Amino acid sequence: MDLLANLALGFDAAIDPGALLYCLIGVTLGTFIGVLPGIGPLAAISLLLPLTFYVPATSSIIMLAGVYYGAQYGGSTASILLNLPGTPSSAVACLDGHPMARQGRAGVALFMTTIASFAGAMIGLVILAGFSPAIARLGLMFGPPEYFAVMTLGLVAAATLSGSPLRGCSMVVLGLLLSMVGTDVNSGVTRFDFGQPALMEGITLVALAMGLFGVSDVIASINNVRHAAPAGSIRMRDMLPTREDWARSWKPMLRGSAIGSFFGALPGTGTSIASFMAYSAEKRAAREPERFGNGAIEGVTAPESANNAAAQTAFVPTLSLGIPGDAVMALMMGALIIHGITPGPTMMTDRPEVFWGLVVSFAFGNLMLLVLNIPLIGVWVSMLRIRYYVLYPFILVFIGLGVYSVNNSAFDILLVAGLGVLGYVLRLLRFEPAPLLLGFILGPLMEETLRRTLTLSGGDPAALLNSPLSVGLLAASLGLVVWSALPRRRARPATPSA
Amino acid sequence: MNTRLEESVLLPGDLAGSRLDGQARGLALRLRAALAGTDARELAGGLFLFALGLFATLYAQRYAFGTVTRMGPGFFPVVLGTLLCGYGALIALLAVLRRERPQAASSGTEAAPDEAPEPVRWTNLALVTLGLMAFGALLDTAGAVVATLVSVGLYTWADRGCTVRRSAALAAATTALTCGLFVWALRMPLPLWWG
Repeated sequence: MDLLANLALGFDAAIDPGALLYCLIGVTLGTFIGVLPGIGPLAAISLLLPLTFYVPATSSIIMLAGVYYGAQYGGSTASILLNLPGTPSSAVACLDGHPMARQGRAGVALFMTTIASFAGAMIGLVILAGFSPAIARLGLMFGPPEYFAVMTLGLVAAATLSGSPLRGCSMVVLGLLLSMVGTDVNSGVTRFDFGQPALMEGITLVALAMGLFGVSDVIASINNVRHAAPAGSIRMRDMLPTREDWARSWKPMLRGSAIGSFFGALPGTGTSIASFMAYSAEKRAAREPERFGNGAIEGVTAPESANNAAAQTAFVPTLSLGIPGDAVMALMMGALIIHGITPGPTMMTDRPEVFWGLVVSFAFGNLMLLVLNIPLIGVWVSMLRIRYYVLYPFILVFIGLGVYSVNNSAFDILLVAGLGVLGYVLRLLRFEPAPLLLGFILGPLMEETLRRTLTLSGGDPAALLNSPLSVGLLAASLGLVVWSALPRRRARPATPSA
Repeated sequence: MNTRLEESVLLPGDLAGSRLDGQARGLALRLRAALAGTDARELAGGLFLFALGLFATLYAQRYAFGTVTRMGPGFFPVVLGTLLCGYGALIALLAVLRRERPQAASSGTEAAPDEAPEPVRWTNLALVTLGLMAFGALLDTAGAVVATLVSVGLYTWADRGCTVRRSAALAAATTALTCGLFVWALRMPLPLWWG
């Protein structure tokens, strides 16, 4: 069977000792930064980007992805023990996880979140492996106009679904503008170089990601990360759930995984929205909703399986179509492009070992996480004692050395400092950096497909609307813009000053 | 509540004094009255994007624009710069149009768009930027060890509880850890010392 042959191919790629080692490094690091409040997966992946230059393509994505889904496991630890979310997507786990800890059931909550995370990730993984090839086959029929339309829809969705559409769109445009820096491939003209030879190759993704998600995050977080050390330690004996815990949890885990898989695959919605949706769905469906907020186990297992399922299915559009749904996926895509692999339908046929290797490595990674998070939970709990003031100088030096190592250029360090200030200013002015990054990565690809479309059609812009598919996709983008603008208008008179 | 533009923002104390003649003062007062209750961050955000877009559009004038059929290198920068200008202007305009009227504000029913704006952490901003710049300047000249020691020395003082002992300890530990990781474990070609 086709799937079995593919899985065997992936198994060969993932069982390689090097790949296994990077997988282990990724998931361990992911759990670590997930546990620690104040540093999230986005910053950690930005920090690791330069290291991927020294690692084969598949292994580097295996490592970065491990950080991403590993952080989903670790994030709930601080939520449960300290009522501080370790990552944004585990904020919901505070609601019932911390009450469980106060009732002396912290161990059970930690055990069940790990089980829920594993279940969610496995269901998400099945969907990733099952749906991606079919979507990629559809994508193979795309020409430049369809690609342009798909990318437009992806960008519009990312810009409108998270927060204010106007602000999201303006950040996409700013990201597109930043991608213009450097030599224009079509004319050979160097744009926006300000006489700096170092800018001839453009702003490196590493510098942009580190500036926006590393430096500006640190600036905003020093003196601002709440810290509390957990009391006591977790013993294996305290972790075992009762029969009732299992009975209450298995259905919410399945529902959470389904909700998470759906929202993960959509562009613009990610793990945080998935976990929130799963929690509110569980609360609405519950026979005794009053238990929620007072340590209901379903309130922990449903959102935790949802964010892990979403972390897996987020790879569907990225790997099968080359359309990243959020900033983390944009970084993954950027890392693949650094290695000369453009994710998308052709990658599935030309480099099947990359896709299937990833799928199998995700399964290995989640098995490793099961071991890391149940027998070794005590290690992570003690990590919560690390203070932010110890961590941030290390992060900043890591950023400096990392960005320097890409081109051996000290100019890039100054660039990171500048982009960090830009990121901090944007943050203060309440602009989201994620759509900016998406615009930056998709910008060159969109410019290329648009130009190719127009060249093929002899300059007739109607070529963009030649196939029903591209018309449909562009219409969907337009509809999304209109839809996102509408409820605000209606909401204004709906909240009268009475 | 949000920070709203107040007298002090548009009319700093010394400007309100005798140095302004009547006309300018009248204009400033009218401007202040017109903008009272505007969300300052929202307005600043719009103006910031407008300025960025304007700069990009003007700077890109030096590149050939071309035509839609044969786009020059200046085509996308100008289109995107203009688009950014438009978005910035729209955000700024909406900030002014949606300002809280004094009577609406007193009734307290109009929902504030967000919670309190994030405070500006000037010390963090200055020390982190300065540290990174020092790191960049020293790395090629004095080597990674000196650059790391100096920059960490700067970074640590952003934390309020920092002491000389803690700063020195963190500088030494971070230097050993990062230089060890990058040079020995990852074998990156880094100049450890000067020369």
